[in-house]
Amino acid sequence: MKLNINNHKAGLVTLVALAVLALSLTFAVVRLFDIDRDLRTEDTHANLWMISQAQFEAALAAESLARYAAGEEFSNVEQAPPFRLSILVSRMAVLLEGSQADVIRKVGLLGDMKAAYLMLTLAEPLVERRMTPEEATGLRMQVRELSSILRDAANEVMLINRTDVASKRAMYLQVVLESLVFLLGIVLSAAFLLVKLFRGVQEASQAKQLLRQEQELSDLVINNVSNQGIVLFDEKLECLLWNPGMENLLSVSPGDAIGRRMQDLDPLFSKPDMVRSLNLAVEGTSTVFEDETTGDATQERCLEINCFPVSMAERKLGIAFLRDVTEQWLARKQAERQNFDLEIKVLQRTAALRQAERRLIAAIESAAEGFAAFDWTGRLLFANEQIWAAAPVALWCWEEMSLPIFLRCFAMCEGADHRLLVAQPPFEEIEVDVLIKKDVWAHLSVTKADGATIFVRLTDISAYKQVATALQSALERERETTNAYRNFVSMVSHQFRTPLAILDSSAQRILRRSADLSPEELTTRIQKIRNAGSRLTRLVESVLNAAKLDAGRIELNPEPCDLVHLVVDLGERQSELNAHSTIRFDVPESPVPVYCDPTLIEQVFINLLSNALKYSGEDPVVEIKVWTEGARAFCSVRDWGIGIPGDELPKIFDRFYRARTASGIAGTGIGLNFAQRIMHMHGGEIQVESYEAEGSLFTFDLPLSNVDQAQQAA
Amino acid sequence: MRYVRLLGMLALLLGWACTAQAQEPLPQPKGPVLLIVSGRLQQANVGTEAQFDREMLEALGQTSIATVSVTSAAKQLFEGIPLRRILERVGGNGTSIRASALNDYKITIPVDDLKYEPIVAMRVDGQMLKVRDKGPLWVVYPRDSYDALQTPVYDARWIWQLNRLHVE
Repeated sequence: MKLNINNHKAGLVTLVALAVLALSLTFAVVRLFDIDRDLRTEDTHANLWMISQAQFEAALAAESLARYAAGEEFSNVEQAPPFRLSILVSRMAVLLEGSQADVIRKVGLLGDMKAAYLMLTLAEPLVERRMTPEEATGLRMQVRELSSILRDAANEVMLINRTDVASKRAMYLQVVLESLVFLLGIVLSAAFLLVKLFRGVQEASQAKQLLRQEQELSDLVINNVSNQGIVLFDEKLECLLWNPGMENLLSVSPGDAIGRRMQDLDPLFSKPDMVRSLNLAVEGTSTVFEDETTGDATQERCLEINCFPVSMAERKLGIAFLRDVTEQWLARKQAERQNFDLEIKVLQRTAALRQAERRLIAAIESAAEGFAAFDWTGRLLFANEQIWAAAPVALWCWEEMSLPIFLRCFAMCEGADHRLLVAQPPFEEIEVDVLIKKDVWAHLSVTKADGATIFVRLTDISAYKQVATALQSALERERETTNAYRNFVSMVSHQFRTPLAILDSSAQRILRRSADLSPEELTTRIQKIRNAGSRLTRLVESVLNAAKLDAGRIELNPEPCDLVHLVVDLGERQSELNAHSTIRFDVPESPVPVYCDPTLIEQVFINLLSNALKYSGEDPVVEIKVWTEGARAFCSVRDWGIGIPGDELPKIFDRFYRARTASGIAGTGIGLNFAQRIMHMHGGEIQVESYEAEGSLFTFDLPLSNVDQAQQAA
Repeated sequence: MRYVRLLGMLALLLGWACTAQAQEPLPQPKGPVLLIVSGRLQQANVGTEAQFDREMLEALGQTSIATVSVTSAAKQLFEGIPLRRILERVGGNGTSIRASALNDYKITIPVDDLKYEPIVAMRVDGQMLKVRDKGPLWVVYPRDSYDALQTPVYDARWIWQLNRLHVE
């Protein structure tokens, strides 16, 4: 490109030089022609000469007229006035026509000249005739006058000439200088062109030499490349060059090949592919292809043929390089065959693998448990429908599922721990039970297989959980029962032993001292034995009652009855039995009809009242209150006894449970439990409010009977 | 080309020289003598000179040239006798001709100029030339026909009031 620009520049400079040369030549020639024209037109000397000629003729005419006036005879016609006058007239005429007239006008004597000419013309006929000497003398004077006019004219013209000559000299000088400049231009540009020419010739000869060297080099290369055939050809596919490599390949010597059509040299060049490539090369397109000659194993040959366009000496030629690549070709064919076999094998294996994979996926899909696989970065590889259907996943995983996201879905389930929240690659193995929705427990297990794939299994363990829960509750019941049994045994061993010991000691006393015993003492002793007996009976009854209740053998026979009457009657009876006690009643005047089994409610009330008395020390004070509220009747028993510790309050209705404040006071721990269960059977409940050392308040409620409700409504 | 023309000219001159021998002698002029030819002649009628009156000149055959001139920008018709014919008639044998006018103006006309076929005009625009208007004889070149003639050198050879030719 740079070379091109340089070439353009050089061409431009040459053009400029040529233009300068041409312009200089033109201007110089034009100036010279100008001068030539000037010299040709301005004939000022001729003007002066003509004026002087006319003046001379005027003088001759005047002389001739003078001689005629003096009466002289003329032997020569040419000296006679008519002849001289004619000559003078002709000379005057010359002065009055063409460029001479312009000069005369310039000196301002044209009018005088014309007048003189007219005078002479008028005088001509007079002179032809015989004129008188006077007339001749007059004419002579006029001619003399003309002569002096002509002299003046000559003077003037001479002066004009002088100034003209001066200006012309200046002009010529300028022209000479200009011409010198043009000449300089001509010389310089011509010198430049000559230098250019010289250098061009020099470069051309250098280029030619370089070309020859290159030619020699390429010939050397072409002729010594024996492993590659090189052939140069023209558009008629005639061979122009045929190197020894071609001879090795096709067994045609260069001498036989050059100048002949290539199709005639070897059948190779008649193949359609080959002909097309050769023609393309000549048209300017490169091609590469391989020509395979198949036959038996010894004749198999493969030639790699490269065809390129070549432009040489303005001719479009083609060059083809032929290389024997049989070995590579055979190796490639072998490799292709092996490749093909391998591909078939790969396809077969792939198909088998696909089938196995399909089976596996089908198995996983049909499995009851959820299954998913992730790669070691936590990217999901596979997940079956059960995974997608799992409640947390279906609810929370609407973005692309990865293992951390998947685990986080489960983090809010019951049973989950923080490991599910912080799971990051590399993931740890996790085993956890989670409650994925109501009553559905699942076992979530994250395991790593060969350190790369992470498997997640989600197994529904609701059934196991239910069984486990049932087992747990059964176990607890069992534990309770054992506990109750143990309590019962301790209670029995304690509560039964005391009356038995009283019985035994009383009986021993009576036996040992039977003789000494006074009747009072005996009575006392027997009374003690009876008391102990009745106490044992009560104990047995209460145990039996509890057993009956447990066995469901207590029947509820509800009937309308008056709660106030029931309570007051029982209270008064108790008051009689226990002389020290004070029982206060706060009950309405009117009866409070309730619907209950009076026998059972009596037992409840007696239990509560006896407890109140029993845990109130020496002088118990008990307050009994009955009231109604809405459709229910309430009855409360209040004492100011030892009270129940706050932490033991919830347990006092358990069977055989006794508060620690109750130690040392006889009791089975069955009573309250029994009473509460009876109240539950009536659809009511015993409420307790108690403070240690402050006393207790037990309240139970019963439904008011319908009749009374109807009455109240009426 | 010029050499060819020159050779042709020489051949013509030779031919003319041969034929001139056969010319009959010049008669004596009867009217006023208009032209005197002298110098290297083969024919003479008065001493060594050949003198021509109007009749003799007109007898040599007339031709015409229409051209502009230094004295007239308008084209004028000049009628007269070819100079070549006059020289042939007297057997003029030289390389140049010295022409003189009535006022003794002299100019040399090379014989070579005959290639332009100049004439000795006697009439201009049909009017007989008199002494007062550059007559009676006027050498006229066909100025318009040749660019070479349009120079002061040739203009100066248009000698008028011609009365003598001297062949040298």
